[in-house]
Amino acid sequence: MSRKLDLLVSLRTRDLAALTAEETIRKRIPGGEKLARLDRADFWEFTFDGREGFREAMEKLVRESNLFVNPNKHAYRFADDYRTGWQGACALVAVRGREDLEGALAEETLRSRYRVPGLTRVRYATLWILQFDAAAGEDLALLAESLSIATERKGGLLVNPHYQDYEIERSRPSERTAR
Amino acid sequence: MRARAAVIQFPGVNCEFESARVLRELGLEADIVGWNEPIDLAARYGGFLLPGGFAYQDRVRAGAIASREPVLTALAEAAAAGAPILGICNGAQILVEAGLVPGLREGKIEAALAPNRMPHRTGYHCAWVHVVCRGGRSFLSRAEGIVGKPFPIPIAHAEGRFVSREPALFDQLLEEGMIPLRYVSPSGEPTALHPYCPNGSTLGAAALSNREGNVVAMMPHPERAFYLYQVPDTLPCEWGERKAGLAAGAGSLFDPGPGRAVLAAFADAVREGGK
Repeated sequence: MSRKLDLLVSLRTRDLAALTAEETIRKRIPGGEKLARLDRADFWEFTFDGREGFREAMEKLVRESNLFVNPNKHAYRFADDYRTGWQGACALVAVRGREDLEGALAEETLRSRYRVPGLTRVRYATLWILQFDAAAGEDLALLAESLSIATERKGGLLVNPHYQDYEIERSRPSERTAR
Repeated sequence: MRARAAVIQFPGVNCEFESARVLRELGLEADIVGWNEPIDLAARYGGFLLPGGFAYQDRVRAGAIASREPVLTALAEAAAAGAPILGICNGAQILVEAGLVPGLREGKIEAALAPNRMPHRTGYHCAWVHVVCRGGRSFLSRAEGIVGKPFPIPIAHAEGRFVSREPALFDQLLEEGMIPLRYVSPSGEPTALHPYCPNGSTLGAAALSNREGNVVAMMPHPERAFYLYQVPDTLPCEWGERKAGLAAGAGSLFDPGPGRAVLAAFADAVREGGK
């Protein structure tokens, strides 16, 4: 049975690209003042054939290979579902190039150089984590969409839909809480 | 009084000085103007050049942050009034992200400059390529000596692939003469195939203009092909031969290169008040 394993990689220090985007959204985009903080992570989604030991093998590879993580500057975590494990109410915007060139390259590398057993697909996205003020209201996904999708000069910033696809989700209770 | 152009300097661009220099050589007054200078651009300048580089370090997407700056609203107003605007490389990315090009619907972002599509790798790529200018609506159609005749020019970018999610858009732009430059194969035919087209751009587009033709976004760098000395003598074309001929004493290092005609067409448009 096909299963997925998510890997989230972010900088240990404040991500300056996220900080610039946060400032731009707050100052330039209508509704941006409701954004409390913007963070960013590399989001790798590994699909595998469900075999036992895949997660342990990937954890070892990530820890030892420097392929996805440079331990001098990156923090990372694995998750069965990337939407879990976030603090507070936030919206998650996963942005992928329509052709996902990064995912295809990583998949080729994992297959040809590391010969990872059971791997069926790798997808890459930039994950933007939008944290909002408590006063932002309930429909965070809608607000995140208006701040993120660049359809006009005075509109969103994080996605150009002419070459990028996106998913917008609300964060969910942590895996531990859900159990 | 000489016509005056502004070279807009965003934080992170790196071609503003040579861009201003070549405009001055073409007879314009050219000032480097900071993106946040509190001045009335339209009142002071007759044309605008957005130079190459990495505005805001290409954060989020190349050109995305800069395109949201208030100066782009001022440039959109100047464009609507007919002022010539030329975006080169990063400047082109800013114009596309700001919706000034192709600009079919006011203020809407109708295209993107996506990451290069190249065999077996992604990322930054620089090379000399050949393009052809086949007329059309823009001021480039008046570029002396290069219209209809392929010429070499350097590119240097990671995100240079013109695309749109509207499948018919580029056919419409071609039909309406809004693709002033296209990459060509050695036979001179427009192509989207690597390596002649370095990025997989739709229809091999190397530049787009707006419908009025006064705003042009081009990925190649004409300021890096302004003088003959900038042209590699190994290029398999008449420009390479001209450069190689310098060693035999034929001509000067400062003779015109192929990019000069592109910038001269822009300078002429500024002098003519954008008409």
